[in-house]
Amino acid sequence: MNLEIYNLRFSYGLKPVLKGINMQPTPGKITTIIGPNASGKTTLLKCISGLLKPEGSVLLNGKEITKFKKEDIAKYISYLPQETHTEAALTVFETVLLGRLHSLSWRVTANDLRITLKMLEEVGIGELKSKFLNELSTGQKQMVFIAQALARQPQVLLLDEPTSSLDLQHQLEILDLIRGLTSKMNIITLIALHDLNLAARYSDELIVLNSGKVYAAGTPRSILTEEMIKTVYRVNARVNINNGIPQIIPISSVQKKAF
Amino acid sequence: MKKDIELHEEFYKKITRRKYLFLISLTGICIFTFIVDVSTGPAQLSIQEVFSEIFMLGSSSPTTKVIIWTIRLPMALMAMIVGAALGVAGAEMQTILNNPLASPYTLGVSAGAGFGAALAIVVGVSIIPHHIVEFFVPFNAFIFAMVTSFLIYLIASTRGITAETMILAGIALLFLFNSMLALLEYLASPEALQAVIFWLFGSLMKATWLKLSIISVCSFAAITFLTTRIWKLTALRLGDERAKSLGIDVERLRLEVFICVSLLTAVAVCFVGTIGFIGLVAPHIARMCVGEDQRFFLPASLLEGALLLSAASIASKLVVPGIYFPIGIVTSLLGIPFFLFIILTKRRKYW
Repeated sequence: MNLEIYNLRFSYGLKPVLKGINMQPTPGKITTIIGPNASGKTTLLKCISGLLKPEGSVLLNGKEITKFKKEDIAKYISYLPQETHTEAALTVFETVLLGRLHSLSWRVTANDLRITLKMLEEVGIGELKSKFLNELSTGQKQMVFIAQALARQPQVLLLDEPTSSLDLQHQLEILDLIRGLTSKMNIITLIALHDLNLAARYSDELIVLNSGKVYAAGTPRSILTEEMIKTVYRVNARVNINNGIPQIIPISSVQKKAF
Repeated sequence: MKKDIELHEEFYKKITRRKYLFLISLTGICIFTFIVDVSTGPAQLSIQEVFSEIFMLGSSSPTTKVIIWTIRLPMALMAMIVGAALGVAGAEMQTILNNPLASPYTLGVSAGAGFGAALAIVVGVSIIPHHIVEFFVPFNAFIFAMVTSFLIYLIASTRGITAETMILAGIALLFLFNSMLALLEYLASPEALQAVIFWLFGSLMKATWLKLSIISVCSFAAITFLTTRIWKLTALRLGDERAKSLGIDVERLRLEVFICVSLLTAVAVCFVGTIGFIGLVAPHIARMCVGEDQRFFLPASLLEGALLLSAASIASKLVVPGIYFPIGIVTSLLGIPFFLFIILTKRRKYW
């Protein structure tokens, strides 16, 4: 599978959010999209997933995404939206099973069952499978929806803030799992992240969005500089290189005047 | 590895077996109340008599035959089918509107039907000629119920068919039709007014085999269609955003299901009047028992609806012995304390 994006533009009404994005993420690698609030990270993922209709091109194996049927897109692309409120009386098992929606019929096949239960174990929520969604903590719910996205066995994986509600241990476990699956299954993985240190640690490639444009793209080491953080995030920070991985230590906001 | 797979299948079989068992026992209870419903009435029959007459096992007296085949059976079946239709309509209305307060009547479909019926009774204006008087009122009720649905669709589609726009459009129409109904009642002659009010109470008295077959065919078609959308409806409960990310055309799904719900509500309401409450309660009980996997939630709502209305039908004949009490009043009066009891004694939150 290959994914190419050319001159992608999108506006909500008159307000342009994406102003010409180009990118060709590599299969088997994790590409992380970073950038301040309202820089267009979520909109970009929604355009790629076919949820929004942008101008410009999103090509999936050379074919425009808008030419695919909705059900067909779902076969290849798995998009994990940010946390949303749900009060459905569904169990964890049923929720993850819904990730297989494209192949479900009245009788659940052994294959769908096997994939669902395997994913529950891999994400580490096997113990919760009979619990109802509304009995879970926010973090646990997030793990359930990650498992749902992975149960699709997609070839393109789009994750919007997958670790926002997770504790430190689970952040590492989930991203390790995603990294493993990405290289093992040769998936194109795009993750929108706020946490720069996680981005530095898990990304093969980083894309910095700033006001709807790609400010910079490249390896974490080449991108995550004190200079970039100051211009894009308006924050004074120190960047240390530890074992080849940049570590960001924020110091102060640029806007704040020193007294 | 092989053992793992067996364990998994075991887990899945266990939970589905429990739900199937629930559906089967519910069916059993429905059959029981149905038989009791047929036996209850001004002329009390024994369960054995009813049983042997329905299954043609023995010969009963001609009077019993007439009572059973022309009065009791159509009424009892009407209660079952209307209850089932309202149960399913309520379940899917709550699903597509993502709202526990929704019922088949939330969006004014029944207010439209009520207005249509009243218009037919009071003014005698209808699209069809007068000689089919028996179908005159229900037909008009049906037409107005469908007109209401169409208006909701028109209003909602200007801003995208979301739960919120549909609810807003529906509530507006509900008030519109209620006030037009009030206006008709104000203008009506005392006899017509009485007929309108009696229609609005809801009654199974006018059940005939022909009406039954019309309701059955429409309900069967709508419910069959819904079963083809079963997984999509389950997924819709996770919210529009997640449903879309699973590849569902949410607006289209909502529209298709809304048409089915309107049809189910309209045929049920036009023949028996507005029987409240079944469409609200049946899905709640079903949800508590089997959750919201629609493969079980839909049939459970259907059976719960049938059971509740059948039980209400029995009660309506027992309140004042020898008299058929309007069933619409009975369902609400007996049902609401029961509903509150269930909601308040359950520990887990379902919404």
